[in-house]
Amino acid sequence: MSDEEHHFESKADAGASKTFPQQAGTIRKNGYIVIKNRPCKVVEVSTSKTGKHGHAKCHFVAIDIFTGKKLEDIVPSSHNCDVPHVNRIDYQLIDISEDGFVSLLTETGGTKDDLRLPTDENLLSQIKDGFAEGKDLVVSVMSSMGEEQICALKDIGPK
Amino acid sequence: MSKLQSDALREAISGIMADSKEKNRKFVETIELQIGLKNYDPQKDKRFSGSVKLPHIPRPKMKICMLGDAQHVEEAEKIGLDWMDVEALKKLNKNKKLVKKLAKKYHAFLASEAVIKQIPRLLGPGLNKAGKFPTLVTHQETLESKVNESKAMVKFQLKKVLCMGVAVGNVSMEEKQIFQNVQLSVNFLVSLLKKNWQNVLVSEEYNGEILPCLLRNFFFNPVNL
Repeated sequence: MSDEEHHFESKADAGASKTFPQQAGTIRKNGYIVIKNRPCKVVEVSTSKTGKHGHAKCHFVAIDIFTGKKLEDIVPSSHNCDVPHVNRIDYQLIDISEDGFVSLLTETGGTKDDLRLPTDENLLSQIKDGFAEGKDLVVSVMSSMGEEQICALKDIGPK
Repeated sequence: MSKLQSDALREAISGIMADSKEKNRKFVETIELQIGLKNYDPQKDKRFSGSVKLPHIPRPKMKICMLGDAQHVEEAEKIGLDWMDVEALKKLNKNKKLVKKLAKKYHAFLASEAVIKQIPRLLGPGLNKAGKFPTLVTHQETLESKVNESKAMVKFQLKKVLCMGVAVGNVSMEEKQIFQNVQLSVNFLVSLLKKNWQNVLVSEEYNGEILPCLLRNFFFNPVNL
C-alpha cells in the first residue's frame, strides 16, 4: 500500500514585499519610512544642502508605529528609501483570555486569536473596561512588515 | 520525504485497536491524537490556528446546532438538525450560565452570515471560551453538505499551552482509515509550523527523534459518541 502524501503549502502570503522603494526627497511628514528595519511614521523632515559640491540630504525624525520610539535617519535626497506597507483592518472583539491575547471576529466569519493586548496603558484599560461592561467593541489592527498590533478602539452601540 | 514514519504509525494504530478489543467498552471509543511541541514559546512565538478536512469522519455522531436566519432554520428543520434563531439567542440575554449550557450541549455550531456577526453581541465570549465558535455557512452550499464537512473538520489551535488534542478517528473505523486521517492531520500541522519546524530540523537524526514523540502520545479517550 502506497503512502498517500498530503502536502500543505505554507500559510504565508504570496511572498509580496513588505516594503517598496521611494525617493527620500519625496517622503513627507506623516508618511511612512523604514529606519533600522523598523516601520516608522515620519513626524519631522528637513532638507539641507551641504557645501559647494555636496548633495542635498533629508533628515527624518520618525516614530516607530509599534513601539513609539523615536528614530532618526539622514538620507541623501536622491537615494531610495524603503517605505513599509501599512494596513489597517477593523475586527470585532469576541474575547480576552487570561494570558493577554484577544479573540477577534474577522470579516469572513472566522476567529483570529494570535493578537496580543496592546502595551499602551490607556488603550489597554479602555479595552478591558469596555469588555468587562459587555460593550460591543471594534478594534483597529495595524499590520506592517509582518507585525500586528491593536492601535485603536471604538464602541459600536446596539444597532 | 515523509516526515512521519509509516511503520511506527501503523504499529501504534494496531496497538490501540488491540488494546481496545482487550478491554472492551459498551460504547464506541474515540481515538485522539495528542501532540506536544518542542522549541515553541507560547508567549513569544506567533500563534496559529487552522482547520483541515479529514477524508474519513472521525465522529459521526457529533452533535451540531445551527444558529441561522429564517432560510437556514427552515433547511435545518428539513434535515432534522437542531437550530436556534436570533430570537432564541436573544432570550439567553448574554447569561453566562445559559451560554455555557448551550456550549456543552453541542459539539459544534454553524451560523449564518447575518447571525455570526451578531454572536459577540448576543452571546458574548462564552462560545469562544469553550472553543466552539460557530463556523460560517453561506446560502450557496447545502446545509447538509456543510454539516458533514463540519463533522470531518479538525482544528489545530495553539494557545497558552504546548499541547493540542484532536479526535482523528474511532475504534469502529478500519486501520487504514485511521492511518490516513492521522497522516493528513500531522502533515497539516507541520505546514502550520513551517518556520519553527525548519529551526528544529538540524539533522536527520534529530528529525527522527521529533516525530516518535508525536506518536507516543496516542491514547484512548473514552468519549461516548
